[in-house]
Amino acid sequence: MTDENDDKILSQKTGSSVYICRMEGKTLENTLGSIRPRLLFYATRLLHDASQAEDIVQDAVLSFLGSLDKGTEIRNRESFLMRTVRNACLDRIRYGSVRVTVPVEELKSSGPAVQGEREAELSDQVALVARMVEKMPENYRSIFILRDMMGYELSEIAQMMDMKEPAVRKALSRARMQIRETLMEP
Amino acid sequence: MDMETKDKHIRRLVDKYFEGRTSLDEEKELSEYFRGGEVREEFRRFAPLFAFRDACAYRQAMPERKSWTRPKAVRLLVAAAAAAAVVCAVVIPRSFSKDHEAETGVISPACMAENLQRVMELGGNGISSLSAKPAGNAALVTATMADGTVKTYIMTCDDGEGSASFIALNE
Repeated sequence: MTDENDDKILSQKTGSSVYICRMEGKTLENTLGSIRPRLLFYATRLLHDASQAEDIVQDAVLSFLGSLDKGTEIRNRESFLMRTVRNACLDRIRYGSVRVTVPVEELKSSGPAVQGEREAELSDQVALVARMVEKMPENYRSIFILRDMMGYELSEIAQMMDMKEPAVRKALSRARMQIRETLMEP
Repeated sequence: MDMETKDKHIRRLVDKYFEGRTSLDEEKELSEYFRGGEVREEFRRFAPLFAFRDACAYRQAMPERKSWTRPKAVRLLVAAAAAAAVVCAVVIPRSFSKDHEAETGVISPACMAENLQRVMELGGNGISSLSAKPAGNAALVTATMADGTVKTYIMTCDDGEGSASFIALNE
């Protein structure tokens, strides 16, 4: 495959007409190809709106390419993109253009039948955990999603959220403790 | 490791987990413990949290092709997934033999393979891989789409109608 084709594919993937350094075309394509699903997962979990999440990820990728085009040095591309996506999600949440809670009760009632009392009870409890996660302050929720659902190291989350690692650890602990306290209630 | 030592080990990991001090490997070990189904009474209250983590976890773009888990553990996972489900059901015709299912109450590998094949056909080039875990007469199906996104479904079979339903959990 030629360099020209690489650039063409990248432009199609990102919808960008931004000139990309030919030498970087393939590397960028690989980077975006591997990170994009994670960006989408994160945005979708924060917004609960797949369509808006797609838009935000697309904009984040364009912003990333624009920064590269201007010659900005981006040391950690994944952190840059995750941070851009998070900030965009926060903007949408602040401006109230998305619904940030999931009607778990509705979902549960329309879900498949589970077998046995024990599974039904577990199902209720898991729904409770889902509700707890939705009610968390945004930074707790972000950290919980990044760690418990996406498996990032605390040092990576710290970079993504512009926080110190001990602060991330503390917030993660508080997020988990909130769930623990609810589960411990009689 | 004897039971007492194991309990002590798990207790230490659970405490570390809530303090935010567990490594990713230790968290994986905890998930496997809770997924295993033989959870001590004192830890049972935390099972929903780990079931939620399992049900909602981000899956890598290329999951292992087919992993078989003990039905008991999978039932818990399906219950967990059901609670967090966003439901979108698709029904496809089912024509496979029900002998194995009738005998064991579990979908046979052949039945699952046939259903997955049908899904691949319906999905065209949109699906790059599928994996399934049996759960009694249902199965938890994970589909990796061509664009790298991962979708999870609960596959159930209706013997009366001779059809299989796919309920999307993350759409």
